[in-house]
Amino acid sequence: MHEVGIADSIMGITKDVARENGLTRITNITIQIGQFTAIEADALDFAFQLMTKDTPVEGAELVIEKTPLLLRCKKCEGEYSGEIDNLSCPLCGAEDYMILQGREMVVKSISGEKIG
Amino acid sequence: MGKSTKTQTIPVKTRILSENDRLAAENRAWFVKQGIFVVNLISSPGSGKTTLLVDTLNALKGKQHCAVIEGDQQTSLDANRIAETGFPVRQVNTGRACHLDASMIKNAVSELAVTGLDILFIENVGNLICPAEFDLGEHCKVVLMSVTEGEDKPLKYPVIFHLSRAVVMTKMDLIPHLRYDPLLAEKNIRKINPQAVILRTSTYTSDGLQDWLDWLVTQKSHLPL
Ligand SMILES: Nc1nc2c(ncn2[C@@H]2O[C@H](COP(=O)(O)OP(=O)(O)OP(=O)(O)O)[C@@H](O)[C@H]2O)c(=O)[nH]1
Ligand SMILES: [Mg+2]
Ligand SMILES: [Zn+2]
Repeated sequence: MHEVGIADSIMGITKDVARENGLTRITNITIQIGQFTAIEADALDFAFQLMTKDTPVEGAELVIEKTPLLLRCKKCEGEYSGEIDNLSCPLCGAEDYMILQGREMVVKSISGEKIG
Repeated sequence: MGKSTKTQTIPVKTRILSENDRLAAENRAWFVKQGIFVVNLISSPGSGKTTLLVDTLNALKGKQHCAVIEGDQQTSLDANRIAETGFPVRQVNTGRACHLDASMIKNAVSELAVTGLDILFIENVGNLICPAEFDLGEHCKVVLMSVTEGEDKPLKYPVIFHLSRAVVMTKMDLIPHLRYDPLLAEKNIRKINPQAVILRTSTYTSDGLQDWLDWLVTQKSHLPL
């Protein structure tokens, strides 16, 4: 379950952001996970809930936005949403592409309560 | 006292693994400076990583200065096998973690304390999923798939096959006993990674070992990458 390591990194980023912005209680963390990553959303959510117990992040909602896979064919220049188990171009059949989207793993925003 | 709280949303846009990536970049910069070619070997448990490594090291003896970092959740069994070749080795036990990360490599490298290295092999924890997203600072990932695992592994674990520069089909000597189609396996690899170099090896017959060694030495000669 490497999602524990991922959840741990999210916690680290959250603590930094909370400190820098004076947030006392975290209510929402929105992350983006590409469709073509080795991250399982359910496992990540599970690991996150366990990890945040008894911390200022406990109870925060983890919103996981999945970004779909998007590729561009280098041969016909067409853009297509590839299959996870077949990245080749459905338009011309070429096996020469670049991934435009689907590999991201990003903390997008963090919401929390602030006194004042 | 009317101390009120208000909710604020902070835009962040930080890569989740940014801390690991930072350490990996430090590792990579150091490897490049030292002229060390670093290979991260990844496969399911038991696909033949350590066996191939032992044969590789024995073949490179007197030609390339090598060292090995062995990642396993438990035991130093693999490190002991490597140590018999006479090359320096560090065992990293990851405990509950199912993959190596950049900080583990940083520590292991400092403990190895060897100079004048040509090639550093990292054997990752046997697993096709967890190691995929953790950059160690290596120059390339190599994924091994043994023929007993079936032709479909690239399709089931596409991320690691996509990220690897070479795929080694191991245990080719077993083909006569199996209904395994190497061409279908290659076709599946191509769907995920058209650029991958595909090699076939058997440590029992030594078939394909020379191709693998040649590939390694060529990659090494292309440094810095
Ligand atoms: N028939 C055959 N068996 C092999 C070959 N290479 C390795 N094996 C056997 O496969 C088993 C596992 O090999 P290892 O090298 O320990 O595999 P590994 O990938 O290092 O395993 P973990 O580190 O536990 O993930 C051993 O019993 C080896 O003898 C091969 O080329 N042919
Ligand atoms: Mg091993
Ligand atoms: Zn095309």
